[in-house]
Amino acid sequence: MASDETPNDEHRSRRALLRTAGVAAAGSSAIALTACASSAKGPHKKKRTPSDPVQAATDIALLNGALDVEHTAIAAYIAGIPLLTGHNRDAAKQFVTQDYGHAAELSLMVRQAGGTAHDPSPSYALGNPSSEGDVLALLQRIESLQIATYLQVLPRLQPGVFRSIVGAILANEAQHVSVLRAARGMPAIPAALVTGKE
Amino acid sequence: MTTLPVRPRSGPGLTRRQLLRTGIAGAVPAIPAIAALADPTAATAAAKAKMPTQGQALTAALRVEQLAVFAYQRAIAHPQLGSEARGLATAFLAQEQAHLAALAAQAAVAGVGLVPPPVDVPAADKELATLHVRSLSDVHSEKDQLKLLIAVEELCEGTYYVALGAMSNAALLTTSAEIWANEAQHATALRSLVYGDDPKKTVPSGFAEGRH
Repeated sequence: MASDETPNDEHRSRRALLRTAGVAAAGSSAIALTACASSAKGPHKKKRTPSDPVQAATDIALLNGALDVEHTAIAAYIAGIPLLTGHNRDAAKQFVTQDYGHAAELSLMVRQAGGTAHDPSPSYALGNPSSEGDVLALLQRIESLQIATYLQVLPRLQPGVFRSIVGAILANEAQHVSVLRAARGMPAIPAALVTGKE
Repeated sequence: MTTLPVRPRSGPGLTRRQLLRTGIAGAVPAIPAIAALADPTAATAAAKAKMPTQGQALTAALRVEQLAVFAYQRAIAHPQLGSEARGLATAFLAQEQAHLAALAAQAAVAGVGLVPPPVDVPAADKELATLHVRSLSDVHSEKDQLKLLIAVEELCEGTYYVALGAMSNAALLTTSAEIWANEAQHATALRSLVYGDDPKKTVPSGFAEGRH
């Protein structure tokens, strides 16, 4: 058990080993090791394509829809970063890097479901933000749209790891929104349930 | 800024999610962890199972939220917690209690029994130790306290990471995802108190999957 998120390494153990070594090489839980070891012997390199073609088509459409929104967010960050300064600029750079990771992950999931991932559009209508405040507002609006989109997508995806991954992306977008809200002088975490409509 | 040509760049290297999808890390990550939350004595049996049931997933979520409420209550009572951290902890405690209420409503609909809160610190510590989180008693400073709360938040995130794959009820899925997102926000705010505003530390990963 370990976290990918804690900045220091004090909690990195079995999960980090899993990622770096590909196998459960060590850990404090014999039970966990048993589970990982047994699953490592399981569906190696098996594509996680739903057996139901209708569900596969649904997954592909949902994931591509989410991918479209990620592409929009990336475009907004790229366009907006030159207008940002200091901490806001640093945060935006970090967030766009993470959104690139989301797009890459979603594209892979689409392909694994048997589909073709959407490419970014040649251009995006992002309005005419001309100040740092305008850019922060735009980014918050798009991040909130992403959250709402993922909440629509999640219940309709096939059960299993696709849902977990999409949930982890959604939660990261919620982190982005909280930082952007704080940067705009708004309460960072206004509600116990994050809906994208806060 | 009306139009902008955008081309994708290369994504990060092979991720845990990619490993998961290709089966290297298993179809369902860390079933023992969620099973330990649902029922610590059932972890061995669950480890042999491929997927927790929706009921197990919901019970695990209820249990981890109870732990979070307990941890925040302890933190607020900690004399070394400064005013800024105390204010944050108080606000987050209210949100954790709202999570519990939302999940309890879902549990009532699903016919899943409620989970009692830990009776005392040793009981909470026992559960946290099972999940590799430091003891509530092993806190000697505000920084210790905040790091413990970050760990608890990451534990919540990880519980939902596993639980979402097992849930089938749409309303429960949505509520759980909304809560998960809030836990991730808590973790970010707490990290900012410990590590400052460096976004690489406050939002270190693009996938807020926590501990699982």
